[in-house]
Amino acid sequence: MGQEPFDEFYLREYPRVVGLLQGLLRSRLVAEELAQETFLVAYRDWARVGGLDNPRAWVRKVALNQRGSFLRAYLRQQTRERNSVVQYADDTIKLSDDHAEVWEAIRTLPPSQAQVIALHYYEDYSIAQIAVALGRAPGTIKAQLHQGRRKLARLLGTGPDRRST
Amino acid sequence: MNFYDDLRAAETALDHRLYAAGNALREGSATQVDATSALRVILLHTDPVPEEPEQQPAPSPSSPATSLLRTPQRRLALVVNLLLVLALGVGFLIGVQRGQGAPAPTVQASTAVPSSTVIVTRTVTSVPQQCVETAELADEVIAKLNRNVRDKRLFLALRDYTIASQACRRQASP
Repeated sequence: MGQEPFDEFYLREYPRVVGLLQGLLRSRLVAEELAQETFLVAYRDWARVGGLDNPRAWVRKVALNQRGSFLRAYLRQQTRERNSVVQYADDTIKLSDDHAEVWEAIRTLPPSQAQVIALHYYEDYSIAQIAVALGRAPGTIKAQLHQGRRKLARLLGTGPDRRST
Repeated sequence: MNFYDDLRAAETALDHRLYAAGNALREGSATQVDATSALRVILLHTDPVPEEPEQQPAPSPSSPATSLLRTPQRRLALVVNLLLVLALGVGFLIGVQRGQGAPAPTVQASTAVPSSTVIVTRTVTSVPQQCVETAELADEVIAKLNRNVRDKRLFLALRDYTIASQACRRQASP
């Protein structure tokens, strides 16, 4: 069975992982740093990682669980955003106001709920796939998805006038 | 019944909005993130290692002396420190000798200096190439900080430095 070369895998998956992390962390630079660390781990062990059933899921799992560095970055970022007066315009992937507002709302959720929401709506992962990626029980994922959605509905409003185009 | 219809419509609207935001970010990341140069950084500064490189061996509490000498950088630092102490000692002895006019300690001091110089030369030549690059990248970061460059250029330099320093650490560890 042929293993995909690392560079092909990287060029396809790196931007998506950066996007996922930026959705959760806001800062593109922090997202790129974490993503790069993740792919570095994959590269060093590519003989094994590349041969896994689903290297994509492995990369996302590592990106969201890197020795707690994701959580630290997440909390640091939230604190910085709360205290920050100046926003770094260049430090994000450009989105329309409506989409940016959605991701800002997602970032106010507790990290575990935000991760589940991001994997579901950004990566199109099913509950079972999220459970595998995050190493949690499917029931827990279902509950976190439900709680996250409920909070987002409150934060964003769900009237037809607020729908995206 | 009306209430449930409203609820369902609200949930669908939320779903639409979340999926749209997810798609927009996915497309934005595909077009705005430069994966090629990031890949170059990884390939330039790192070699793939089949074993578990992330699992660094835990420091053994029974042998603090060997853990001190684990990496060439630490060995180099130790040798430099020893040399400094030696130089201070020699300086002190010369000072004492000049003060007292006694020639005897000079012989001991002059024999000690060349032997330690040989050790320094050996250690310097064993520094891996990655570590030399790391030092250069560190200089680059410092230069940017000195010039008060704190934007993406600094981030990229820092990222390169981090990757290189990890490669250096891995190369240097036995």
